[in-house]
Amino acid sequence: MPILEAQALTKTFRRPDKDSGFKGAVRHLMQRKYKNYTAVDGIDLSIEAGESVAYVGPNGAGKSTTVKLLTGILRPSEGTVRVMGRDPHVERIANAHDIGVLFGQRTQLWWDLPVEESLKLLKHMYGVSDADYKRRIERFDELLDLNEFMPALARTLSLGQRMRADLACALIHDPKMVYLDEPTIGLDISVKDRLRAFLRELVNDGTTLLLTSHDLADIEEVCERIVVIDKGAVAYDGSIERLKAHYITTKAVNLYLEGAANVPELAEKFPDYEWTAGEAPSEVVVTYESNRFTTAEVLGSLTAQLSPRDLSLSEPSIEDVIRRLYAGELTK
Amino acid sequence: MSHSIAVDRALVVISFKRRLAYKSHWFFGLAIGGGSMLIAMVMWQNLIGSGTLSGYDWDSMRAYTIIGFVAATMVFGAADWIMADRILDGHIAVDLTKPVDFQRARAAEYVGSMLSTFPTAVMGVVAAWLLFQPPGPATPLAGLLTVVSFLLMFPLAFGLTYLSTLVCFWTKRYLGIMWLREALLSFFSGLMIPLAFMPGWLQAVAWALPFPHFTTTPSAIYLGRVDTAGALGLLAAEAAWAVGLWVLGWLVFRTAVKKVTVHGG
Amino acid sequence: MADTQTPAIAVPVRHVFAIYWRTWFAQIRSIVEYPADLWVMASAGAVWNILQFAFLAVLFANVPDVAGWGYHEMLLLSGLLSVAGGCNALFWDGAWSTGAMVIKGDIDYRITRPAPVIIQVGSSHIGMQSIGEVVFGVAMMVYGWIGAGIGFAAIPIGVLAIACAAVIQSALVTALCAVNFWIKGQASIFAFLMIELQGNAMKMPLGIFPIAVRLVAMFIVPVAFINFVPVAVVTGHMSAWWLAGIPAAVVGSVLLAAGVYRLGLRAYDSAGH
Ligand SMILES: Nc1ncnc2c1ncn2[C@@H]1O[C@H](COP(=O)(O)OP(=O)(O)O)[C@@H](O)[C@H]1O
Ligand SMILES: [Mg+2]
Repeated sequence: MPILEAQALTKTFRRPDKDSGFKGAVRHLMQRKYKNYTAVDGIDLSIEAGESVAYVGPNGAGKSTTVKLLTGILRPSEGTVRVMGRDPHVERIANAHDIGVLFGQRTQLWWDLPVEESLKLLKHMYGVSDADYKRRIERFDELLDLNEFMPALARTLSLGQRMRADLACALIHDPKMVYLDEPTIGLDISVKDRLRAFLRELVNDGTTLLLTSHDLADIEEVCERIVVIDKGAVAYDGSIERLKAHYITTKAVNLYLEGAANVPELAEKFPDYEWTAGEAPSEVVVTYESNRFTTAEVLGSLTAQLSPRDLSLSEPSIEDVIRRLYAGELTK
Repeated sequence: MSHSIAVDRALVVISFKRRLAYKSHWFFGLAIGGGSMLIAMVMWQNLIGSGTLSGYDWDSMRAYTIIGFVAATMVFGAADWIMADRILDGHIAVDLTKPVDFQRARAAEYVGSMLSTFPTAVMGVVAAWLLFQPPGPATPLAGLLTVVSFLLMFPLAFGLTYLSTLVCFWTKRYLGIMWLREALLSFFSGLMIPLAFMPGWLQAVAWALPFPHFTTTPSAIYLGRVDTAGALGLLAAEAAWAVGLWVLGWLVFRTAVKKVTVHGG
Repeated sequence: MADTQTPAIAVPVRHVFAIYWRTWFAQIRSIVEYPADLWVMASAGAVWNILQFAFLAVLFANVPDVAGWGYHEMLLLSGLLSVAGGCNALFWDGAWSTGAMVIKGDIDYRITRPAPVIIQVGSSHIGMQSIGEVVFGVAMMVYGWIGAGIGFAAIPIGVLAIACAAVIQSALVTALCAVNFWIKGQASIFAFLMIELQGNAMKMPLGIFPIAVRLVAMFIVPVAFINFVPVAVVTGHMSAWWLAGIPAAVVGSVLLAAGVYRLGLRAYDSAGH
């Protein structure tokens, strides 16, 4: 039985329908009009215990709204959610013991209290034993360097520190199901790296994870499965490997020639490949279909006839695929 | 500094419109102000009956209470938070880089927000007039001078509010300062109870403060409790306070701003 | 598995109290961080109360009684009202932030924690003006109590009245603040409207008001049970039977607050970011 199951999940917000500006505001006061906006539109999602799922989509796709529905913050307009067999909105408190939540844009730390105090309040709220608390804090400290800012007031923390503290808050009760909404937003590379390493450990330890992010490196390093949503509906759901195998049908080689590259001329000479100019005048990008030619074949023919000064293979990127998914070029 | 009248006017209009857009402000201003006015009416009617107290009979007390309502609507309904928030959230650093005078700009906004209480005040006064039929001004001139004293309330209220918001340079929150100011204003203006009821020494304390001009001055002029010379004297005192508080605000701001530039906001 | 779990609302009452007090004490410790604010707020509360005292002193220098109520009785009335408001600020000030939290989506995390949301919100802030209000409110009460010659025997009633007043006041404020779950706004205007009008009207004997006002204050928004009824009983203006109405008002207002909050959470839409 899946740990999380959502069926035909839908959320419709009522938005005030007003023109901008003073006149619009006044008119809105006189005759309140609203229009409905469907942020999440019939999403089916099933997650098995231990899975790590990336939930991606462009801005406004409905990612955060989905997380709020799954965590019981919002009541679905239609459809159902079951987390460990419970409706998270109805059985809110029982559900709360089993889930951990982080919204990267907001903090759950008490603003005027030291970080340590916030953690202790949460420890108490979740009924975590002293021994467990100590063990977990030690582990968080190892991976996230918590002690560095434990005595600091929450409002004095840097963004990276705040995020690490919030992560500790979300995990202090060792939840089975963890939701992280943009946990790396605004962080610099080194903090991101640490966070990802931490999340990998979490997943290895058997925690079920749902992660939304704009940063595809987060996704590739932490998750096995990816769910792409667009305009509130699922556009792709499957393993990242399958996504690549299925949709990455072209590969590319960058060639650095001796002189300036004449792209039209090259395109005429090798009509099987696609040629585009590179960043430098002497650089060209050769794109070929990976099911028609092997890389060895392509390199063989190119080096034999052009003797380039240097060349490099670009890694197939899921970024491209996702971009094309967003643009509606691909279907599931 | 190229701070022109046009800038002032624009700020007044913007702030006026912004406040006016909130229908809830009108409604709650009216509900709170009107409710308080009704409660005061009930209390005074009960206490005065057909007699007089400290020179006020039921007729004059009705006019007094309505004047108090207008003054309270004007000062309590204005947007003091905007000023305080600019200081508390550090926006002040941005304001200082603009080619407008900070104090003048805030004054313009404040006046705009005070003007936006106009609908509330008018609705309340019309309703109260129909309900209680207070006596008219003692003389037409007294009526005119009452209007002047209400006009002078604009710079006076600004001066007082501005000074108190500047305290936010030294605190993290504004709420307590606002309460303190409003409490003192309610009591020493005569809004809670006319100054004439107070013992001599307390009246002296009140008159040494700017607060009486928010209710006592206009009502004394309106009811003819002072003659024309006395009325002009009160107006002069009110104007002097407005100027004095403006200068004081300017001095305090100059000191406070050094704090900002030193600490970098 | 699911069927062995406790139902959603069942958090042991003792645990809820413990959570509340822990949060409250943690805040108390953080208050000393800003001494300037502490003093400004505390003195605002104190000055407000001193001026209420002064109002009554000035009034009674001019009149012998208000509808049969003497100076000391009216002091009791004002004092108890201040203490009730002060206790709201001291123990339950967070309720006032409900509207702001709804707009900013700050209720989100609180829904994901295993404790009643209303407790988490109520304990999220301490209004420091309460220090002045409670101290001077109690002083007013003691002075009025002695002056009115009520005696020691009734002191338990007085203490109980304070506790009940604090609960009714906080519960009514909470219920009105929870209106902001539907009518979005930073300011808790309905609660504010109530305490403004209550502050003006309830420092007077209820008898001076028209019958409709009296009925509203007793039975619709039972603010009369906060200060008027207990004081009227101990000063002999009302029969002791009315005391029975106080616990009823406590239960009623608490149920109202909890109910409105529950409905509010069902309607909660979070914030769009
Ligand atoms: N509380 C709300 N009220 C109204 N509209 C909302 C609310 N929350 C989200 N929305 C709207 O729903 C859409 C999806 O939002 P969200 O789930 O936050 O997107 P994402 O997290 O994928 O960027 C957006 O258009 C947003 O404006
Ligand atoms: Mg989002």
